[in-house]
Parts: sequence; C-alpha cells; structure tokens
Amino acid sequence: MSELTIEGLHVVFGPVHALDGVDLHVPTGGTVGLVGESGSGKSTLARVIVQLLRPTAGRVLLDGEDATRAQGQRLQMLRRRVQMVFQDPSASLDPRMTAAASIAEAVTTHHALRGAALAAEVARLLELVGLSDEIAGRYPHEVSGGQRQRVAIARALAVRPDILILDEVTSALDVSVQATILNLLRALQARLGLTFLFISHNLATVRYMSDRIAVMYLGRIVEDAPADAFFARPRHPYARVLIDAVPRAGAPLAVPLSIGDPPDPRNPPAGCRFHPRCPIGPVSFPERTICATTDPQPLLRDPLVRAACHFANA
Amino acid sequence: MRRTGVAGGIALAAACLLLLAAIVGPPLFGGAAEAMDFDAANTGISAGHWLGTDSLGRDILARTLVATRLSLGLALAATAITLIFAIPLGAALAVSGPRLRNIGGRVIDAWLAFPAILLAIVVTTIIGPSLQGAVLAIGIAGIPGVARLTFTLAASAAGRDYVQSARALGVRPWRIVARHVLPNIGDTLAVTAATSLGIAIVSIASLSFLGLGVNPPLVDWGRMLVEGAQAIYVTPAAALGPAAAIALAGMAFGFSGETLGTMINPLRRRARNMRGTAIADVFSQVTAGTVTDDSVLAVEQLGVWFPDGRGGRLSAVRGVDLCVGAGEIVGLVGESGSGKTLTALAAAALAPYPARTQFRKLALKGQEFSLLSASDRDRLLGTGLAMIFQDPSASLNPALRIAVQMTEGARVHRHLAARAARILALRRMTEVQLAAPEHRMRQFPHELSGGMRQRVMIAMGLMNQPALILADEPTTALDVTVQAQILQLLKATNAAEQTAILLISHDIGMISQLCSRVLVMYAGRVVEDAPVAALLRTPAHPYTRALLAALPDLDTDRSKPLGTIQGRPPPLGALPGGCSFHPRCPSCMPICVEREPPSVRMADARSVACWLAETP
Repeated sequence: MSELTIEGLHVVFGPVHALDGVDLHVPTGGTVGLVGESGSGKSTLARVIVQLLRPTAGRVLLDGEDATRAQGQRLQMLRRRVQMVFQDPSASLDPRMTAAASIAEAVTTHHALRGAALAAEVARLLELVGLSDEIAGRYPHEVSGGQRQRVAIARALAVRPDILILDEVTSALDVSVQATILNLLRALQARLGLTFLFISHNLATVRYMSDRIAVMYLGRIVEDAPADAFFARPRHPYARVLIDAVPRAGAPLAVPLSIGDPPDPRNPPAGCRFHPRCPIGPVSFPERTICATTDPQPLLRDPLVRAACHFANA
Repeated sequence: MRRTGVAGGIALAAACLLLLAAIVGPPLFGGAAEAMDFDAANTGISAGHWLGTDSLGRDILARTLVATRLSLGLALAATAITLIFAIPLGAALAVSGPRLRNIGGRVIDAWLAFPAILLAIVVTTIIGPSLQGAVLAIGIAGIPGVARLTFTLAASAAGRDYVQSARALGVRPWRIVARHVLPNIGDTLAVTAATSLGIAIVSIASLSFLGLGVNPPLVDWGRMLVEGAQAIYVTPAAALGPAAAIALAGMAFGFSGETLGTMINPLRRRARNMRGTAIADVFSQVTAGTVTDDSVLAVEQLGVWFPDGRGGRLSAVRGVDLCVGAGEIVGLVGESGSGKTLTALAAAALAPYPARTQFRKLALKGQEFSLLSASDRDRLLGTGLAMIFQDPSASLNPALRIAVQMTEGARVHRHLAARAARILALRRMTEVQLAAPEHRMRQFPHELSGGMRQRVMIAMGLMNQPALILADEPTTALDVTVQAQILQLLKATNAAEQTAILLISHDIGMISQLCSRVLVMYAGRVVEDAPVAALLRTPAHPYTRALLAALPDLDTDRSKPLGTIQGRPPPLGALPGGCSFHPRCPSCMPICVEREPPSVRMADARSVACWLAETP
C-alpha cells in the first residue's frame, strides 16, 4: 500500500494564499497528473508533500497516517517513502559531488551500508535507471542533461520510496531526451510498483503519463477527473482553455485573446477565481453574476469527476 | 582577464614570501636585529643599513623582517578567531528557522554597524592593553562581517535544489551544512579569509601604534612604526620599513584571495574564461551575390563557425539555405545545439563574438548585405527586421520606462518626432491587446507580467513596420494560455501586414500550427525543408521521423513507449564523417558513413539531405 491523500491543505506566504484548500487523492500504483500555470501552487503542493514546507492547515496522509504531524524517527521513516525529482538536474545535483557520491549519500541516510555493499547498491541503482558504471565517477557537468536527470532519479530511488513526486522533470530537456526519461519512468513504475504525482505545465506529456488529471488554478484544484474523460470532455472552462491552448497541426488558434494574463496571486478575484477570464463567465454572460460573488464548490459531476464551476458541463 | 590573473599571482607570491620571512626571519636576522651600535644610531639609508637604523643603532630592515613573525602570527590568530566563530554562526543561522534567523540577522547587522577598530579599542580598554587583548579584539571585531557574508551565501546555497533534495531525502541538517552548503561557498569564504587576514594585519598594527597591542620588549610592525614616527624628523627612513611592510602585507593577502578562490573552485575558473564576450558581427562573404527575387529574407550557403583556438574552425552552422517570402511564416525546429538560433542571429548580423559568418548570399528585402555600406546595413536591419527573444525580461532594459524603449527605435531609425513616435507606440500597443497603454507607457518592465512584457516586445518590434520578424522561442518562458495569445498576435500581424516571420522553436506542435513550411536542423545543417502537411504526414528524413515519434501530443497512444533516438547529438568540432546523423540513424547504410548527403529537391516542394531520399 502506498496511497497519498491530501486533505484541506492551506499554505499562506504573507499576502499570498499559495494553497487554498487542496484535496487530492493519489491511489497506489497510479499516476495523477497535476497541471496548472506558474503561480497556481503546483510546486508548493509538491514541497508540502515531501515535507520541505509545513502547511498552514490541512493534512498529508500516507496510507492514512498524517505525515505533517510526524516527528523524529517517524518523520524520517515517512520521508523515506515519498521522494521528489526536480525540474533541472543541473541544479538539483550538488556540483561538487560525483554521481556515485550523490547516490551513496542518499542510500546511507536510511540504510547503514558501507564499503563494497554500498558500492554494489550504487551500481544497482545506476543500472536501474539505465546508466553504465562509467558514469559513477563523473561530476554533474561532465554528463549530458538526460544522464543528469537519470542520476537524480537514481538518487530519489536510493531510499526505496513508494511514491515519487515528479516536478516538471522533463521541462529542461530536449524532445528526444524527454522521451527516454518518460519511458524510463513508466518502466520503473511498472517494475517497482511506484505511485506517481506527475507535475507539468505540458498537457501532452501529462496525458501520456497519467491515469487521472488534476487542474490547479490560483491555489485550488478546479477539476479532477480520469484522464480519458478529462480530454474527451473537460468540465471546467479553464480545463477547456488549457486543452485548446495546446498547439496542434491544423487546429485553429482557439484561445480567445480576451482571456488575458493570469491574475496577481496577492490579490485574487472574489467569487470564482477564474471568472474575470472565463469564456463562459460573467464577461461573456452578464446574467451569470453568481460567479463574481460565490465561490463554487468542487462538486462531483459524476462518480469520478470533480469540477469547481457553477456552470460546469454536467 | 589575463591581467587579474597576473596580479593575483604576484600577490600570492608576495604572500608566500611574507610567510617565509615569518618562518626564517627570527633565526636568520635575529642577531642583526638585536645588535646595537650607538655610533650608527638614527642613520638614514646607507649601504650597510638599507633602511637605516633606529635610535639604538639597530638595523631596521633586519628588525622589520624579524617582526614579520609576530605581526603575521597575531593577525593569523585574530583571523582564526573570526573564522571559527563567524562561519558556524552564519551557516547555522542560514539553516535555522525563520524566527531565529530573523533575530540573529538583526543582531549581526547591529554589530556590523560599529566600526571594527572602535570595537577593538573598547575591548582592549576593558581587558587591558596586551597581546591577547589585541588579538581577541581584532578577532571579535571581524566576526559580524564574515558571519553576515557566510549567512547570505549559505542562505542562498540552502535555497538551491540540491539542498532541497538532500532535505527531502532526510539528510541531517549539520551534514547538509558540511557536505552541501560549505563546500559550495568555500571559494568565496577563502577569499574572505584572505581579505580578513589583510585587514587583521593592518588593524593589529594600528592597535600597536596606539599603544594598545604589542609593547616592548616585543616588536611588531605597528610598534616599530611608533618608534619610527618618533624619529621621523631625524631619519624619515625609520618609518618607511614597517609602513611598507604593513601596506605590502595588507595588499598581498587581500589580492591573493581571489586567486586562492579560483584555485579551490574549478567552476569559477571556467566562468572567468567565459567573461568578456561581446556582440560583434564579422562578415566574410564567399562570393558577392546579386540582388534578386522578392523573398523578404534570402540566405544561401550560410555558415557560422568559431575559431577553435588552434587555427581551426568549429562549424556550428553549415551550408544553410533559407528563404522566407512576404506573408509567409517559416518554422525552424531542432534540439539545443542544432544551430537554429545561430542561424537566425547570423541572418540579423548578430552572431555573438567570436563567431564568424560566411555566406554566398544574404539579402533582406532584396538588398544584398555584402553590397551595402556598414551604415546602410545597420539602417536596413534597424527598420526591416525585428527580433523577439525567449525571455522578454532579459531583452528589456529594467531601468527605463516602457515609453522610452518603445519609441527609441523609431526616433533613431525613422527620425520621428517624440510626439509622433508616442502616438505610433500607443497604436502598436493597442494592436497587441495591451490594456491601458497610456498607463503601461509610464511603467517599468518589472511592473508588467511576463505576457505583457512579451507583448511590449512585439509592439516594439512592430514600430518600424518590419518586413521580417525573427522570433526565437518567443513563448517558451510563458504560461500556456499566454503562449496561445502571443501566437495569435504573431499570426494576426502576419495576416494584417504581410509580415514575414521566421519562428524558431523546439516544439513541432507549435510550429506546425502556425507555419506553412518547416526547416528541421540537425548538427548545423538543414536536414529537411518541407511544407508542414507533407512533413507531418510523411517525414522524409529519419531524424524528422524520430523527432516526431519522440514528441507526445494529445493523440499519442499511451499504451506504447515513446519513440527514442539512440545516442546524443555530436558536440561541436567532433562531427562524425559522412552524414552527421549516421551514428544514431536506424536506416544507416555504408554510403552514409563515407559521404555527406547533398540536399536534394524532391517532387513535392521539399528538400531532404539523406541518401535514402534520393530515390523517391
């Protein structure tokens, strides 16, 4: 078992409500794709889940146990189970440590291995992510971007986690390298039974990786649906906009220019936070005043789909 | 760049000599320094006494050399006290909780506000003038400065992703500091340590000079300076020796810090070698072309190369033919290092130094570059072409209001009056859907969102009604909804004013939505040049095929792995023989290894550089 449940999470940084009541469930062995634009709170959520940040309120449950309240040994144990891979491997690997040293450090934080046993474990991890032994002695700047990201993945796997938080892991990589990393992650998931939270702003890669999709907008999850249903029939107008914004050959440029830029998170709009940009909101339909006054609750639209919109496609 | 290296080397050598003097000075010159000769008291500079003698007839040069040990020793001790307390203090504060960090930071700032020498005088007055007092005083006085620096450096290092990764892994805080934070700021701390030592030497000498440090019978340079100063009207030379020693030591340790830092951190050395590249355009055309057709941009056999430092060339762009007609949007795709950006920069005469550009033909609006004078060429580029870069915040001047930046080009190149330029700017801003343009004109770039900044860049580009827009990854730094809007703007501009656009991107989806024709680059060459529909339906070059298979879109089959390309692109200067793609190509044939395929024009208006494509 390795399911991740997030309940009523709030994170406040000064005037910014970075997370504003986030609920999310990531089932064992599954992949939930988390999409949203910059400032929507995706990375903040990731940091709370891996305990780099304490939430202002709410809980992160690992198989039902609240990880945000854990301390000491228990915290170390829970930390081990959830690991994170960052966007840019040239920033997430210590430039002064070889690949083997980075991985070995991670191994020894949770398993008292040394000498030959430690070297064997490092070799096993390198092999697991498809790297040859000769990478072991190299520094991050001596290997390619794709190899660096594999080292970062090996380091995360070194503590034998059950859940991986993948935060924009291919955004800094070239197209052909991105494909190899995505294939590797899917193979690792199948082999090790890992649970993924796959965070990206790229809808096409999210679709390829995920069973469920959750969309964040200004600190809230506005839609949460099975991947197929989401792409076939998005319920929230913002989800529709995101899908339309994916450039495709032959498709018209469908996002209305009137949608403007994302609002300032320090000063979010009242009511539905998307209403000033919403193509089906009060800007286009003046009679829909409820959007500007009442915050829509994330209601179940069918047994599997939640969408926080007063006028969501039922 | 070389000069700082030499100066650093000299400083380091001087510092080493001083340390040597501190070690061998007393045994070698101890006798000479103590030998009194009342007949030769207070003599000036002479052959026997290079720096003269003091009131007891002792040789000042010998005494200065002997005093080196005490002066440096005290300074080293004081610096050690500073570092031992300051570095852990600063590092601990950097990784502590926000409350403690806040309070600690304030305390250090307040401490720092006191002049160090004043603090030292207070401390010595309290514990009495003595050697230990002086060392302790100078050591304590140095703590806040170094602690503050360590705190700032460590806090920034602690924010890096690799420290975050280590924390997420559960690595203990003290280990994070020792393993990840300190080694990565070690070079800067070494510089600080050396500078602190220089300051400590001068400070201790000052305390001794004031009678608060070293007192007879011991001597350091400060004490000697006191004696020299007393005799300054009799023998001015007496003060020269110790004064020169203090100044020399202060400078030697101060300057050698940077060199030490570079020696400790190899990354720093690399960064220094990268410095000093300026934008310059160097043309050398192969043969003067002739003024020709109606394409807005016509490039034939464009090459860009870098000197490899050994008289050879590293070719980054090779034999590129490129043509953009009026009203056309042409896409240029390729992975990083494929040469797509350099191609565009070279077409705008902006290839970065030390790149060299050569071409058979390079014409904008039908005017051949090689036939134009430099000023005509600048004018043609200034009015005929606009560039939009990936990061609008880097291409706007943060210190100037939008109005100034918007109107500058039109006023310089088209000699518009301020008022006319302003009216035009407002019109262009409205065209790119910038709300409240009057207000935006008065703002600074940092007051705008990323999307607004990119719109300002486009509006700015449109000021001179360019015939061609070079857009290099114009939406990569933007959110998807904003990207969609920027693409619409480009499309609208293209439709309304017949502006030709060369759109550079790694995103084939974006290119195929906007462009009519696509050029695919690999290792500096255009490997395929085709109409979008044909390229997507039947990619002819194996690289194009592989690239399309690797990129997931909204219709990709999720049950299958994505296509991958084995190996990785060749580095500059290590191109494989024959076809550059052959080591990675699934359909490689013997000829591919031997000869580079020419670009062949096919029946369906496409060109392909592949041996397989020759027989369609």
